[in-house]
Amino acid sequence: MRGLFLKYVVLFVGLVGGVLIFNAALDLYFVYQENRRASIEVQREKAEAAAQRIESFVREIERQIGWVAQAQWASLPTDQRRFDYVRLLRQVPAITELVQLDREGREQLSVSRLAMDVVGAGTDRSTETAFVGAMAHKVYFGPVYFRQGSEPYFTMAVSHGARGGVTVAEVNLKLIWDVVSQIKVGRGGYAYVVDRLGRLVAHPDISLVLRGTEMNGLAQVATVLHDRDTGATLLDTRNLSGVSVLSAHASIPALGWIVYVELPTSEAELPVINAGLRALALLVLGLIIAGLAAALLARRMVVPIRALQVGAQRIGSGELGHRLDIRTGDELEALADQFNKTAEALEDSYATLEHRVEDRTRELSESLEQQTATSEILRAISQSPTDVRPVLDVVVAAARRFCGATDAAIVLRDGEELVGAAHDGPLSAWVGERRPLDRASTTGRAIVDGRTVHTPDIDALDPVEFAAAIAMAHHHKWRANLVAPMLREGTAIGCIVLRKTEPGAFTDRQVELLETFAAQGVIAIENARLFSELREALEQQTATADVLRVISQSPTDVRPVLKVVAEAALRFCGASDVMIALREGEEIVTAAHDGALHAEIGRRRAIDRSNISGRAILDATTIHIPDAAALDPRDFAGTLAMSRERGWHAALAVPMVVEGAAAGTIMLRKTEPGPFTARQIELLETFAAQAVIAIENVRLFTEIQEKSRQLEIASQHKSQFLANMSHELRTPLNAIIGYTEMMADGLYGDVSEKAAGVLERVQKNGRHLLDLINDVLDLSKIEAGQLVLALEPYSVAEIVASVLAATESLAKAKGLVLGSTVPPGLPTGTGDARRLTQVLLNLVGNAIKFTDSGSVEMRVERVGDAFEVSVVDTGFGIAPADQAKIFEEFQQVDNSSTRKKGGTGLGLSISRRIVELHGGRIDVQSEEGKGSTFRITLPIHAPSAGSAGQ
Amino acid sequence: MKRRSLLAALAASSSLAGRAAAQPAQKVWRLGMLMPDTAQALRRDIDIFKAALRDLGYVEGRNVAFEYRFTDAIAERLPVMARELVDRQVDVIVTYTSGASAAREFTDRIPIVQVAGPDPVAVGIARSIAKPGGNVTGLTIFVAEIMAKRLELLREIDPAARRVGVLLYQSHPANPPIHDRMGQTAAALGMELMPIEVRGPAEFPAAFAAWQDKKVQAVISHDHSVFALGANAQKLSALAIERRIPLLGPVDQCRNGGLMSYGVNIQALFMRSASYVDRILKGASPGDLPIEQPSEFVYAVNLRTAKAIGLTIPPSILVRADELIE
Repeated sequence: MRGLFLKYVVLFVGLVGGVLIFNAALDLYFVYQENRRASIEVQREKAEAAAQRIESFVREIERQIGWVAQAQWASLPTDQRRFDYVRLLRQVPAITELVQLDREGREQLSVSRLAMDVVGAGTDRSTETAFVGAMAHKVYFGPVYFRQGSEPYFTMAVSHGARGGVTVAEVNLKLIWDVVSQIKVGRGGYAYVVDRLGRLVAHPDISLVLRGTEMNGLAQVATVLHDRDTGATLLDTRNLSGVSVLSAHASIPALGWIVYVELPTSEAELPVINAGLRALALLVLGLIIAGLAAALLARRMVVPIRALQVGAQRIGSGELGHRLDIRTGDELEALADQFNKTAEALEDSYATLEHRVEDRTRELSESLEQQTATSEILRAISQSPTDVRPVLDVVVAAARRFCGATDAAIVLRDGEELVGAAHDGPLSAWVGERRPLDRASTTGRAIVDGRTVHTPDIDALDPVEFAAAIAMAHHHKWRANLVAPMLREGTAIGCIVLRKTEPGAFTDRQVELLETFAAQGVIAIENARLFSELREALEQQTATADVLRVISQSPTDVRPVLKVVAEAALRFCGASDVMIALREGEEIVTAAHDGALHAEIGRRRAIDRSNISGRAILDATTIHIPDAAALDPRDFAGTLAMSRERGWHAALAVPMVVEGAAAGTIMLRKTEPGPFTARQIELLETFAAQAVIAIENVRLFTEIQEKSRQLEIASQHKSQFLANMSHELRTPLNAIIGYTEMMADGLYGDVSEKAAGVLERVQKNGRHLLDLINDVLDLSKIEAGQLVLALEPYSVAEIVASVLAATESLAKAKGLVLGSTVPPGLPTGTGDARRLTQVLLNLVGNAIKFTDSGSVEMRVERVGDAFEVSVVDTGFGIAPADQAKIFEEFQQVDNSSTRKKGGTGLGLSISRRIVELHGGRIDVQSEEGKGSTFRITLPIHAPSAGSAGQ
Repeated sequence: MKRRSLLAALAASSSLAGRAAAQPAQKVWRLGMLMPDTAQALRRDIDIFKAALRDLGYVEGRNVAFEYRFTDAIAERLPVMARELVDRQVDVIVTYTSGASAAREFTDRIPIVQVAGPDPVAVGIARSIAKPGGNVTGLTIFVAEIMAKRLELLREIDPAARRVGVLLYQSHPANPPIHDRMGQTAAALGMELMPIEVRGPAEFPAAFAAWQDKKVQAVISHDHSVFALGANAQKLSALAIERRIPLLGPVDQCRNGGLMSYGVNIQALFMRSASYVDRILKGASPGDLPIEQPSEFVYAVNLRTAKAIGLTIPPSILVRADELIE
């Protein structure tokens, strides 16, 4: 109700306030305009009046002077003239000094307030503007000037006619201040006067005048001075102290001065502000009155409404007998009556409604209980995913509780038999017992027909047809029962039974309910089945993964794999034991075993069709013996003997087939006779396949190992052969070269020139052959692992020097510059100095060989723990594609130039091996046509275990 | 209940507004009145000054307090009292004649307003008339020019007067310019000056005795209040009348029995100086306030005295007299 009250008040106050504000705003606007106009008008009037007074002040002085300024006056005696001047001073206080000039401009008389009076001074003042001006225009007004730097004066001169001379008066303008300072506009208004140059002539603040303040800077002064003719004015402006003012002015034509009257805008607007405050006060008053009036009105409205509200609230809260009593005689009373009628109608309908609600509540609570039961069952299902028993117990208990039976039970079908699975209640039952499935019992009938069987009174049934059922009822002391089948995909897998000791039909609701419970029982059973299937599948996969892992871990030995396979097979196929046997020629050997029965690993037997493993191997098929006793003794003599010896009665043998032939068997045995299931067979075959993979794996692995060992031996033989061969070749070749040399030297008599040429050629080719053989020998030694470094301290500088010495003549012969750069202070290295010299000789020799002009240079640097030896030439260079190949055996860059140069193509290969033996590396950078750089990176201390070929 | 609280709130707000409108505590300005004369003699002029201040909004006992120091025309007291006022840290020192110079000795900070007195530029306590620059400002009278003009006046009433006594206040800062100016005029008029500097009224008889010895025919008096106001002026005039010597001096002196006067309207200056005090108290720097000069000069003739000493005033003087005392 507060809301309505507030709304009324706000509306009222808003309305009144709005009107008042609008009115006040309008009023204020007009007051402002009027006030401003009036203020300006008053100021202008004041300015005009002041201008007039100043004008008349000046004119009065002019008139007073004019009293003496007559042509004949000048010819009066001095005393008379002086007297007149003294009188003039007395009459016009503003004049401080009077001077009479004759018509030539000579000073005749001077009378002053402060200075001494002077008679007949005769000073020539004819050029002064005052004299000239007055002679020309009769009256002259000079500009404002300041005496002693501060007193404002102006000079006024009046001519006595063309022959009479001029009277010059110095007029003190401070007297104008009286005029100006007397002008009062409001409290803060004031007036001031500026001359035609904008200089301040009079101002209430005398100090401004005394300081000779220039007023040109003010906008109002500048505007008027600038546009004197257009009469432009500026009303809203600022004064010297920057205060915003309303400005009006009037000009004094005689002097060209302007009188300004200004009023601070804030003061000018004071009436407006006052009017505003009055309007505000009125507004507040109006709002208070409006508020009170609104409150009063609203109260008159709100009280009955509030009574209505209270009444409605009481009726609403259930006091339906309450009646409203409002006597306002208007719509509110009618509304109250309507409320009363509604309350009556409500009271009537409420009674019937209550009954309905009660019924509904009961139903609701029942269904709630059922839902609770359902949720209990579901919880049991979820808590016991593998075991169906607890769920069935819960289902039975719930069924008994909700269907209002004495007793409840669940019977499951197992093949052609019934098994009591769960029971709840005081009557006897046959839990765990088995009965044949037939239509004689009510349970059997429900399962067979897949329908609910309802027996209100067992004694009312046909005693013949239902003899068995009646007997059972009497035995278990029940009179009525209800059987609902538990259907899965249309087939009953069991049923749920309600029993009562007294005859009587079950209600439709009870039937419906029981069928629901039956359905839930099915769900529980299905759930358990699916769960165990899933778990089994997972376990199998795990087992397979185990087997594969063992295969990968044991590539050479099949036994661990077979052991794992045996264990897995036993675990999943579920027999008394498992045995894996492998074929070895015409025998089979027991390779793995797991289980309770006895077996002997490593036992050998001949393959023979009379026992099942032999038969499985020979036929490469699965042999399934459900019962050993049923076997034909003629066909399976071995098996029978074995069965008796080991005490098993059923067996399953699966061959492990590799490329069409069996490599062994895997066999399950059971102490009890009975067939293996299709699933067991399938599983065992899977395990057999896994065992095959392992066997194959091992076989292949062994084969590869054998092959590589043979290859290695062959390679060693080759290298050994080459080493021996080269050595054998070298000995005779040395002899050939030696003898040839001796012949050429003439040890065996003179040799003809022709013969000498031939000898030389033999010698040369022999040496080349020797080089080749040495290289091959080196390489074969390296290949055969026979090259062993003789590690010793060496000096790189010495090696470089020796190489330089050895190759100098070669370079000189080709006209090449041969040089070396070795920094001082290199450490002593450890390595095979002879071999390193060989490497460097090879590189430098190559460089000289493949360079026709330019230079070959060796450079040594220390980089960390290594020497870097580079051989730089300016030869042909090596194509990028060839750079990788040149370090291989028997590879030479194949082009005309290299062929021309000859060589074995082994040098770089040997060099590479030697450097690598030292733990270093060799590489090349080259650009065709520009030269090559071979760089050896050599550890300062070669590793001691260096041995070639590996 | 709502209504009651609303009314209470309204009442409270209106009372608050009332309290807010109450006037804040006002600062009381302290004016040091350094007066080189007696309180009695200066009462009228001080009353005029206070009235002018009142017109500008300064009311004694509310926002302005006066610290009076009357020297009773004893020259030695002037520096002592000036010192006292400076020590008491008054807001403005108001003084006249040589008071400004005396006070300036002790402070260059407290503003000093000279009601009337010698040219502050000439006596060295201001830089220029338009912009004094220091802490002294106020009004100056053309005392030297006026005294020279009095010689001219004397010539008109007694063309035979040759030996003229000049009454000066001892060690007054204006004395040197007076000597110069009067000397020039006296020379032009063919007069001989006999100046005597006195320290106070007590020395008047001796001065007149000295002048009488020298056959002085007239005396021109300086404008110091001791020569112009109250019993001192009357005593001075009586001495002149007794010896039948024309005494020409300030207007007040003429009113107190002096023969003639040409001078400034000292009351107008007291009135005017109130506006200086006002501007200084409102924050203006005294160094920025131009020193003003009087524009109003008064001729006065005491006909009674003229009659007493048997002097006929020529009509040329009478026509120009602003004040005829009978």
